Amino acid sequence: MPVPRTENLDHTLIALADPTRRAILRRLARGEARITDLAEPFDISFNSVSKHIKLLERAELVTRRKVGREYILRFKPKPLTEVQAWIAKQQAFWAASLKAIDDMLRAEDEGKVRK
Amino acid sequence: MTETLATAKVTHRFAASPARVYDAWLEPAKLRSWMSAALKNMGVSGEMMRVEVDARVGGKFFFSDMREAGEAKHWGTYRVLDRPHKIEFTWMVDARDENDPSVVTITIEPDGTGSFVTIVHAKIFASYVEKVEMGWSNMLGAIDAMLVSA
Repeated sequence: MPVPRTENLDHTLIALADPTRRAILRRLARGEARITDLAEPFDISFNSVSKHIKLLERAELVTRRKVGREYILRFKPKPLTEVQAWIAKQQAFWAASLKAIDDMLRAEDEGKVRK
Repeated sequence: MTETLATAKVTHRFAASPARVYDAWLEPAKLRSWMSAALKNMGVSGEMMRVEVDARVGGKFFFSDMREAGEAKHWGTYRVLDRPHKIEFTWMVDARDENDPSVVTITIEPDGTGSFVTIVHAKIFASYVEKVEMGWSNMLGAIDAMLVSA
């Protein structure tokens, strides 16, 4: 493909590749939550949730802010638009390919007519 | 759902016969010519480096072109070669793709004296997002809508 994967895109895709992280994102897509709120429904330890959240933060899909002694997490959808843009680029490449083949074959036909 | 998320699809109507369109994908001189033009259209130099084709099922291809950042490499293995109806190959741009490569299927149908061609590029992010679920954000919905309308 014409556009190599960027590190950011890799981070986004790695973050999306795990079911627990997707569940955390689904939860955060409904509204902000504390880390402690997230650990409970997934039946996993606070440490484990923290690791998942770090990967989501590295992908910039989640941001945190401190309120008192608690961290509040928030979903940021922007990196997903980069995934969308990448797929759109693949599509543009194949469309450009078909157009270029068409142009080439038409040029061949015109060459024959001139002869 | 997963297939839709990771799939790009394009179609094109050709005045040329299915056999001529088919051969354009497998003859190195033709590949070099149209791929260079397509890349230029995409805004890169289109200066082709290697164009190698082993046109048999299980055979490999390797295409590369020069970019600002260096040589851009694309390679894969032919899975279906059914002249003049269908070509299918794996498509990789990164060594990490080897485990679960994306797949390109080119279907060529007769259309009057010309042809109608459909390219489906599936599993674009197969190794990463094969289990991604839809519906949890508007953005994923937007990706789906874009692909359906394309």
